[in-house]
Amino acid sequence: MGTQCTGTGSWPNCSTSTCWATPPTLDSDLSQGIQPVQGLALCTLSTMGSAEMCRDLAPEVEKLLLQPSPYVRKKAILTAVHMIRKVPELSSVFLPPCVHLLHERHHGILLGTITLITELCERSPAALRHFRKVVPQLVQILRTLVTTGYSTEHSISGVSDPFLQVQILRLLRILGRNHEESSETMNDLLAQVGAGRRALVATNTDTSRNAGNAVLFETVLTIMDIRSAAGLRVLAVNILGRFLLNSDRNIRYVALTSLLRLVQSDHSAVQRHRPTVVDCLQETDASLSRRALELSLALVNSSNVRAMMQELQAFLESCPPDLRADCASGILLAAERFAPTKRWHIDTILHVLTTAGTHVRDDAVANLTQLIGGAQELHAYSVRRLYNALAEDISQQPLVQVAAWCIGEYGDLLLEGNCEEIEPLQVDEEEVLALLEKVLQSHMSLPATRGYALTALMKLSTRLQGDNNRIRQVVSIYKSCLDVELQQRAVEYDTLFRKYDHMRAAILEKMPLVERDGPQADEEAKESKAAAQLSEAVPAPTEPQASQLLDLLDLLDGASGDAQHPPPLDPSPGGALVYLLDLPCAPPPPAPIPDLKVFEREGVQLNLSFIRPPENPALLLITATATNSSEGDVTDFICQAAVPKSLQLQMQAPSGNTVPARGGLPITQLFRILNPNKAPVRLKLRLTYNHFHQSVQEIFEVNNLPVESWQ
Amino acid sequence: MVGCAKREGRGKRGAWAAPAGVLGGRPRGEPLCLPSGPQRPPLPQLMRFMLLFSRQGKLRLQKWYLATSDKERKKMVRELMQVVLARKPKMCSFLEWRDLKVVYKRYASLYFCCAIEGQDNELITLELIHRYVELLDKYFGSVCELDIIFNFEKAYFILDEFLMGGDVQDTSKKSVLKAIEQADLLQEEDESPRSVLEEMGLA
Repeated sequence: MGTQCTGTGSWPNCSTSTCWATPPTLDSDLSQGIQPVQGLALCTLSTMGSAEMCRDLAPEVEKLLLQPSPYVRKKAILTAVHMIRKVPELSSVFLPPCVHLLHERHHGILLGTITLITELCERSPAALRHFRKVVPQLVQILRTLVTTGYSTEHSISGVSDPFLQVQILRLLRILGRNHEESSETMNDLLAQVGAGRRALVATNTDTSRNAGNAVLFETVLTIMDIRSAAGLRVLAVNILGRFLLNSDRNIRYVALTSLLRLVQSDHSAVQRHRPTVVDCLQETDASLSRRALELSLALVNSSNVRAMMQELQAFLESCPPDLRADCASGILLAAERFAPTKRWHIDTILHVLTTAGTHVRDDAVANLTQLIGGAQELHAYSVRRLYNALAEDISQQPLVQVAAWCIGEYGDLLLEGNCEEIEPLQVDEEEVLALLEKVLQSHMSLPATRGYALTALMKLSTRLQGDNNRIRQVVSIYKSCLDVELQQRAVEYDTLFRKYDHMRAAILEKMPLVERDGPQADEEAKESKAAAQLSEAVPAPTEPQASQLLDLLDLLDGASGDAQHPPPLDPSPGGALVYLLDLPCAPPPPAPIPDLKVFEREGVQLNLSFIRPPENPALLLITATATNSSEGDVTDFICQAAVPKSLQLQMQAPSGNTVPARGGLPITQLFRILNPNKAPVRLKLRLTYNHFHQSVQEIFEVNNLPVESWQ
Repeated sequence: MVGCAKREGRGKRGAWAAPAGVLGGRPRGEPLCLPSGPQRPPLPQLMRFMLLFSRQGKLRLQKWYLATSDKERKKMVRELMQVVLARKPKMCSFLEWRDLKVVYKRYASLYFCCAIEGQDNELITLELIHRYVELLDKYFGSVCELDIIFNFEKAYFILDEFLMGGDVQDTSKKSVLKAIEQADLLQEEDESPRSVLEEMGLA
């Protein structure tokens, strides 16, 4: 009779109608005393028991917990685990017997009890507090397991009952989390298990086998999670480091995954294993090499950046394609954060672009042009290297774009012929033009790249000594190009040659430094101001192309030495020449805020001018301009500023630190102030400079800023 | 008992008819083990399921420790089999699939797959799989795939004696095998013919 429902125990799917029929029979099965039957009934209950069944049969199961036979007891305990999962209220029923059950010697019962306690603790903080008191007992059980000798029945390759050990360690982890006292009690034991030290003979954590490693790994997980002593954490990291050298792939995998979790909190300990981690980059298994890559990137810091970058770049050349993108962007990010010198940074980005150009992120081009633009001393070097790279290979689009831009901007430096950093290369004007034309014509070039190349050619018309016939020819060919963008450019450039030749040099001058996050609307405001200025200078356009040309002039004319406004830092994005002709009509400019003179001493003046970009009302841009109308130069000029706590201030690098005498080129510096609460803006400025062979220091407050600057 | 065990959860009704009224209105395929009351997300449980399948993609054994619908199960099995069978021999035994970790090991022509929760110890799961294979080996004597095909109910039995609800019941091989032997004996005793009424428990 009792065996009626036992068959259901092996149904893997519980959506059968027989489930409905079982509760009364299960009840009778559980109570009738034939062990196998009881066992099967418990199995059924634990696999398929619904919440109602669990509630109904809880008392029966509780009775079975105290039966003499270990066979039934161990099953009853695990059934209780399932019941608690289904009906958490039953925890109160099954909590009391636990402490008593821990005294059992039978491994199965012990294992079940620990699983039960783990489940209780995970579900209820009260139970967690209650069971903290058994920590010493658990420690004792584990210690006995580790130190006593070999028990053939429960051991696996010399490790006593690894399942039980792992389960105890897991419970200790839960009990010790965030609890100093319990963690302390466990410290010694964990050190003992971790170091594989044993009081007696048996090698209980023989690390060459998986079972031993499983226990060690669980120990490491526990150490990482509880409030362990620093020495213990270092031990954990070292165990993981040893795992990395293990020949078993699986163990290396778990080591890499765990080290990744630890790298933030125990950075210096993990650093010691850096060479091993880097070796793991050579793994054939993709999941391992991916983890090794993530870990390597996390380990890069300012002291090891050069060595690491070398390794990572070597990896980039040979890595599987799906890791390329991550590797490339990781290298670029790390280079940005830790680059020791600008030249190294440029070299690194260049190398990444040549190796994995198609996998880099979109803003890599903009970043590189920004970087090169800012490193004035490296212009010659960069343009040469880029020229060489381009001459070899014109297929990697980001590289081609940057190279085209650079050749356009710094073409004159390229042709000069001497640069101490690379071997001198004699470059012919015709070669340069031929290369750019090749880029233009190549079917591999994207439309954007072509745009870069065409503009670069145009810029070269002012940089090169020879005549411009070749360039003019190319430009006029593209006037009938099918690509509208290129056609538009070509037409405009052609008009520039024909009608506005006198302005060509000014328009195509070298670009000033691009502001990285320059708000787009900012330029629109500026260019509309410039437009107002220029409309007097240029006759009213009659053809539509010429009016677009006017827009062109607006954008590029910012820096041509107009002294009416203090020269603003022209924010036309250098890398975004693509946007050049997409400018919508400039919105009506906001009423300009009047300038403010804040300081004057012996002919040295400091003026502030204000801009509020319309799309970001919390932002205030102040340009401080230092002018010198005296007879002596001003040198080593440094301006520092402070604002009240409610504001945020960012200062950009000044344009220089010398103001020559008698109205020489002023120094400008941009301050960005974030003022979300519209608090009144006050500034405290500190100026230090040398004037008339004396060092001057001035500290003063500026309280009278115009109301429009902060309201 | 043996007869019922043969049906691998295809939803067929067992030998005992349940009162018709109780069944009415329950949609097919919906698991009966849903918790009553508002649906709670399951708290971490050690093992979600265990699968055995051959290199050709035939499922030989499936044991689910978390209630899932039939459709969902089929989908998961199909996906997981594809992923595991695509792995090359030199790759490691662990992979991440959906939000679970899957530990698999190949023994001859069979893949043993266990899906565990994210924070668990994969190495001990490997040990667990190995222990199960050892048990099968001891019981069948040099077990091969055919043994499992023709005696799948025994394979399930052994699994149920070793694991319950995904947790290890007993770490001693000896006691697990002893329990199975006892159950076998009981089964043989029980195969004497009996009336239908007796079988239904009404006599």
